Amino acid sequence: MTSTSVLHRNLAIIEVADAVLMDELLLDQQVSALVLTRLSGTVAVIDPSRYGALITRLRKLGHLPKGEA
Amino acid sequence: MSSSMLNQIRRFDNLWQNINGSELKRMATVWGASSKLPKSDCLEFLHAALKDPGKVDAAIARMLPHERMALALIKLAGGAVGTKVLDIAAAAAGIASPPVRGMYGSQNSLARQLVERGIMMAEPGHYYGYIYDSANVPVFTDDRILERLPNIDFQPQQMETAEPPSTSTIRRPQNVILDVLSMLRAIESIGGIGLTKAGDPKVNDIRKFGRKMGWDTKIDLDGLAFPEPAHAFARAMAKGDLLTEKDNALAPAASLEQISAWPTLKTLRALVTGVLLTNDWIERKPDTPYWDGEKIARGRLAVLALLRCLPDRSAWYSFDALEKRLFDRIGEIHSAGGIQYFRMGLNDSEASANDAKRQQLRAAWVVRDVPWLQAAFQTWLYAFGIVELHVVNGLVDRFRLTDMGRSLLWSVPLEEAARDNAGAAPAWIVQPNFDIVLFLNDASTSDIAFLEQHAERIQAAQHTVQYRLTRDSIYEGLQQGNGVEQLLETLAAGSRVELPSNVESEIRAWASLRERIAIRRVDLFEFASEDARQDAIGRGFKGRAIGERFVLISEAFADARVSGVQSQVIHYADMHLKKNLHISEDGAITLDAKYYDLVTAGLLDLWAERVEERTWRLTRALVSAVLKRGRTLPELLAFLEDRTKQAIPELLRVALKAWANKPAQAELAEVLVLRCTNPDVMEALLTSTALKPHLAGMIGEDAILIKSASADAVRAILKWTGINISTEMMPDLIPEYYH
Repeated sequence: MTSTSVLHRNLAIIEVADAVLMDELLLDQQVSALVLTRLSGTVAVIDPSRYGALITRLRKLGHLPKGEA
Repeated sequence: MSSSMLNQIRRFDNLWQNINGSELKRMATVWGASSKLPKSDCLEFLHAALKDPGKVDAAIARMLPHERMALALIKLAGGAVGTKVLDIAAAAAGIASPPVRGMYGSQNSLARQLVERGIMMAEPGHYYGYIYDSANVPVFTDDRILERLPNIDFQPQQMETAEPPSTSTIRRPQNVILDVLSMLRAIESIGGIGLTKAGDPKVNDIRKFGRKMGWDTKIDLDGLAFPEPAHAFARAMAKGDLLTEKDNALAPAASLEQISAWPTLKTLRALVTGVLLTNDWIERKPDTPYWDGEKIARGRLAVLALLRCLPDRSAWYSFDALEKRLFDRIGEIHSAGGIQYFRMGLNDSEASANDAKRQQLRAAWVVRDVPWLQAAFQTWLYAFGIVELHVVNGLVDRFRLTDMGRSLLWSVPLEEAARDNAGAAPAWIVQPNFDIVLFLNDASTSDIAFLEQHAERIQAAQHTVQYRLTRDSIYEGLQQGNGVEQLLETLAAGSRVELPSNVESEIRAWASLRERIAIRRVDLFEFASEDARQDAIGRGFKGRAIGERFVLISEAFADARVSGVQSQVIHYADMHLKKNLHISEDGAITLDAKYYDLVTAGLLDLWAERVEERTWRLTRALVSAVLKRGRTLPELLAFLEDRTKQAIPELLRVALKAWANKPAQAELAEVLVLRCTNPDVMEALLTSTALKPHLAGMIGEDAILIKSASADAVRAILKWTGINISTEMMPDLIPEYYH
């Protein structure tokens, strides 16, 4: 939370097709430990140091995440 | 010897200054300098000469013919070689170097002569003065000399050609590239080949690699036996720089897509350079109880050198004729079983005339070296596509060089089968069951790379390879950066039949799944409030609204904002955000109001309880819960160490370890302290049998710990002794640290 405006550059996020999908992903304990602040129904900040672990977990859950971080 | 790495830059520059003045002056004459130049001027001259292609050309022209031929051998070896290896290879190539009076007496080592002339240098860490006949000192030539070296002709050897056989076996460039890509992919998939402390590949990881390839301890390559292929190829690829060290493991040196785009000759050179440097894998173990892999490996460059002397590069030759020629040239100085120092005690003419000794050598050669040479032809020479073979009863009968072999030996570019839309034959068929059959005869290396990237290989034969398109293989392929339209276009263009419609629609469906979850880096603008955002959008702020206060903006827009400096800018790309946390011993963490980055706040929300807007507290319950969800204590500690302005308090560190189920051990009990500064009385108390059962220990030299349950009993004993007891402890007992 900020009292001035902030430009966040090269912030690592996860963006999903719909909020229901995000809710479903965050039900997984391991995914929820890797996804940090939820900015909206479909966008959340991720821990950039654990990008690989997040991709691996999502693959294991049967998803095909597009990873560019 | 250091690896001959394709990408390693080899220069003489830093080594000239270690050479003494008189030797340096002599070396400089090769480069056109006067022999009277002082050392400092020599150095300057040499540095400048090597940078000038014209001067390099002139120096090469000034060299003697045998010196240029030696350089051609060094180039074939990849730029670096052992002196003994070079001498043996030079003998195999029939390079006659006149014996010269060197710095250390008469010298028949060609390698030694080249070093003394400044055409080669000993690798750093090796003293050039220690190059003796029997030593194998690693030496190299400056890259700039090899780059300018023209194609050097060797004296063709006298060898009759053989009748072309009716059948033969050959590996095409596509087969070799396919193998390399699949091996690299296998190594990538197992997470690399780990290295021991000594820097050697771990045996278990090599076994894992072999299992991933479906190999046994020996494989059948088109009917030819290849022993320990996992070990051989892992070592050769590492030494040849197809694998490099990353995080203490060997991994592909570049992406498979990049490697597949290399000219075939570059990949082949990497393999050959690698196998020339591999000493702990040999083609065939000798029958002798003792053998030296490094000495056996010395013969490999000699074989290539002899092949370079074939009178007709395209003809067939008998294996027997080649091995006899090899014996004639190197039989007296090299053997897989160790040479018997034939020349010891004999002068040159005596040695040449000693028929009995030569017959002994020949008999030993037939037993040890001919089988080794057979194995060399049947393993790496064949596997790398250098020779085409006619095999009879498991033995090579006749051979000839392939296009790849000629390309390697004479450094001529290999004509690549190029895929162009104008008319190259499509190389595969895509079937409705998602299987693909690739026809190697029509496949280019980029075709192979494309299928390796986007399909799963099921099996490979000599002329065809079977692949299967799967959801995972398409996903992995798209992860490399290509779009689905490009993928489908390439798949269709290379297919001999129309792409089945069900295959196309399924690939599109798989690709669309990938669009449902995206992980990427973005530029995000955060407003102080929703109203502020609305206001900015009304005034033309461009981007996509996210949540209540954020707008996703383009990179260009972000650049413009940065230059305008209207707001705070936080850069996340390099992962080293500013230290913006204060942490206390009781686990309270405060975030700096001036630098509130989303990742730090998010991680704090994950690991700790937020008690105020910018304050969190680490608790056992939360930390333990997060650890159970797959995060680790080292991650938490690394995060705190990276962000906190001061060191993590040690007591908190102890607490975190305990919460991570690694509690420290300590003891806490109630005791009384009995202190007496009179040493004699102290001695009496310590040796007292009455007091002994009540003592719990000592602090320092003058204080005894008394069990709390024994307080009354001890008081009674002390009262009987008449010792005056004070209940106030003297302050000097307590160390200053605790005041």
